[in-house]
Amino acid sequence: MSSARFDDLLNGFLDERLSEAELAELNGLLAQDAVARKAFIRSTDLHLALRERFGAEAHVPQIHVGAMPMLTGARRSVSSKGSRSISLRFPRRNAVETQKPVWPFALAACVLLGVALAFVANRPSITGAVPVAKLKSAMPVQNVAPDHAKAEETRRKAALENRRARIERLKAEEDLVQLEHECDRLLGAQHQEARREELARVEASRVEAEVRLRSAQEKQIKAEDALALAEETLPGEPVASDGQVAQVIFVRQGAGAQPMLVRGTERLALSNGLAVLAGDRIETGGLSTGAASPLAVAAALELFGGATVDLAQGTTFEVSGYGRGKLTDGLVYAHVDTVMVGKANTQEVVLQTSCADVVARKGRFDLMVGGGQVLLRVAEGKASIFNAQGKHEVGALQQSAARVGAAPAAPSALVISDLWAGRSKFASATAFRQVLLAWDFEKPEGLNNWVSAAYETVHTHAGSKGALRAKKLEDQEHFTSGAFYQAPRSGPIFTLTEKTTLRFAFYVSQPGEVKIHIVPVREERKKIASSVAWIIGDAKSGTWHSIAVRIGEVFKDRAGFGQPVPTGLRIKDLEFYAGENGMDVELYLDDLAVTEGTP
Amino acid sequence: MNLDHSQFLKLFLHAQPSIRAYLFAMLRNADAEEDVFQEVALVLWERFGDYKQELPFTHWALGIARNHAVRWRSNKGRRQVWLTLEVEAQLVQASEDLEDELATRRHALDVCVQRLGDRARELLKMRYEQEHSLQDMADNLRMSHNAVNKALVKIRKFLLDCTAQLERASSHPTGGVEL
Repeated sequence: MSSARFDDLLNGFLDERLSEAELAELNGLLAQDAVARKAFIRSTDLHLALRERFGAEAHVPQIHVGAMPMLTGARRSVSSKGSRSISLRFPRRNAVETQKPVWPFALAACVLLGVALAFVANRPSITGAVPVAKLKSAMPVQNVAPDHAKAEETRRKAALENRRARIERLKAEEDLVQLEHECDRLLGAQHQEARREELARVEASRVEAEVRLRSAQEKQIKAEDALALAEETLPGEPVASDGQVAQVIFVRQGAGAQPMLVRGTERLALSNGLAVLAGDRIETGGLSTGAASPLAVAAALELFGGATVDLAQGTTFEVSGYGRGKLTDGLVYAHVDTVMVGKANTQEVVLQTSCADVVARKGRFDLMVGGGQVLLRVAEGKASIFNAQGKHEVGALQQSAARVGAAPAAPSALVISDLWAGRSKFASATAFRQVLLAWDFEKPEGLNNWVSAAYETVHTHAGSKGALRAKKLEDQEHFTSGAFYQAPRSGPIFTLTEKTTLRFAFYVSQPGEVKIHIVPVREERKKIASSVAWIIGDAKSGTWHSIAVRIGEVFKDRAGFGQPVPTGLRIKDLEFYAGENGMDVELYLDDLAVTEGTP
Repeated sequence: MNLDHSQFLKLFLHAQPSIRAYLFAMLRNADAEEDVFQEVALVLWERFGDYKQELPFTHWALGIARNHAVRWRSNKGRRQVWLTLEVEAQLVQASEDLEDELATRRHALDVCVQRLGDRARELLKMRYEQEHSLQDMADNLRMSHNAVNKALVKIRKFLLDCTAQLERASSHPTGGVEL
């Protein structure tokens, strides 16, 4: 748009003659150009300044300085210094104010005033303006000779009448003044009421803000107190004089490569009790072979500051400082439980990776680095994962992954591929508060409760002695699954709560989809629109996967695509499906349990 | 911080041009701007105790001005078309940025008006003192509407340039221009 066009629009705006289309045109230009906005403000100010300069006397009433006593002196002071004028006055009553409830009374008062004026103006007897001659002419004519006594009497009466009329007029005038005052009072009250309402509203907002501020201040003070207490209680950054920040607490003996500690150019064989200094690097050697068996724990460290870290084989981990570590490659399992002050864990343990850092105060999680990404899986408590691109807090039974240069993924339900718990038996059902259902398929008779399944003793998970192998049911035409399992028909019924958790391990021979149905008891099926399912898409084949999910979070109706399953539902069956497009796949299940509560 | 009310006038006078320019942009009418400005001035005075010195006074004042302008417009009805909210928000920033400059320009305006020729001053008087519309001016002066418009545009441009020159000179006193 040309400058000339902008000038044209601008002057049109000032002269209040822009059409809607022209205003839209001006609007578009102002939205795009900061220079144009400044030119607009300058021109507007000039326009108003010219109005003030040329029209000040005629159009800008001066301030009622009496209403602002402080301004009186100040204004005088400023006026004496220069030619600037100040134009302040009381605001006009606006439309909002005239709609206040007091208005009818003011109107009524004014109508009364008008009536009074009309009455006064049209009533000769009280105006006092009636000439005596007129009074005389109004008197009855008598055909008698003038009688002085009578004439005097008539004059006296007229004078008396005149006096009465004057009194009445004065009284009417007094009433008039009173009515005017009443009018002003009512209108003033109306204005004051509006102001009172506005002030009350502002005052309420102010009080609310003060309460919020006070609450925030109290929280801040409490937090500061806790921090100060923590700093007093804790030994500080207890890097010992010898620089020790961690200690080796476990070294796997026998099979596999010997874990080593690298300190500068020195390489030390890892041994129990070995002191680890800041900057030391632990290398646990090559990976174990055998896809069906879980990774072995190669070593474990105690990080001073409140954490133990189990290192899997094939892991490189550097202890960078007090409560600080750096995972270069491999897999670790951390149990973080920092020093508590009151009810709060006050310190953080930080595990760095090339993709993102993980911070925790209390919790259990594993952390895997490889292939240019990091995967955090939290079994208990919570941990934060962050990098320059973003941050997420990952809660229990959730996972998040991050790549270099990308923000961590939003936490999702835990789908654990080889959930690794280091030396602990996290996968053990005993870690859960209450076990509702549990099958480890250790004994062939466990199969009695399942429809269409075979006992497998070779392809097992995590050192178990047996697993369940699915068989495809040929008559299930409406299923595309290659395998079908069903939980015991006569098995126990459990009621779903927010904390009901399903754990199991599965293995599929072909990549594809795994679907798990939960089947409510018949009388409760009306509570949901259709069957309730959770679908694991893109399940990788040829390896075992461990799963731990909250049923209420991931299971949805309409075969996994609808609403989350409601709590309170009584569950009767579990069904497992695998395969895609009718293609047969082998499905194995192991370590299946439904529990109540967190691990 | 609770400021002394004696400081109000100083701050208010300095911010006044920015506030008024912004109000005019919002209301598109000089009389309405004047009315609302009076309300705003009173409210600023009454609430000056709430003003936090950490914030620029103009910023605080423009916030209040905007609220009053919005209320005035809502009472006015929907027939009128306004600048978009986005542009209005941008104009707040522009008004704040120009606070010092506008105050100085106003001071310089008298000098610049004196530099105008008689004919130009006569046009300004007709427009701003007698409040003639452009068409009235054209009729009285026996000129075309377009010619009057162009003349006013030229006069405003001259005054803008002149006040800018004096404003710059004021910012750099070595320039030797006396306001």
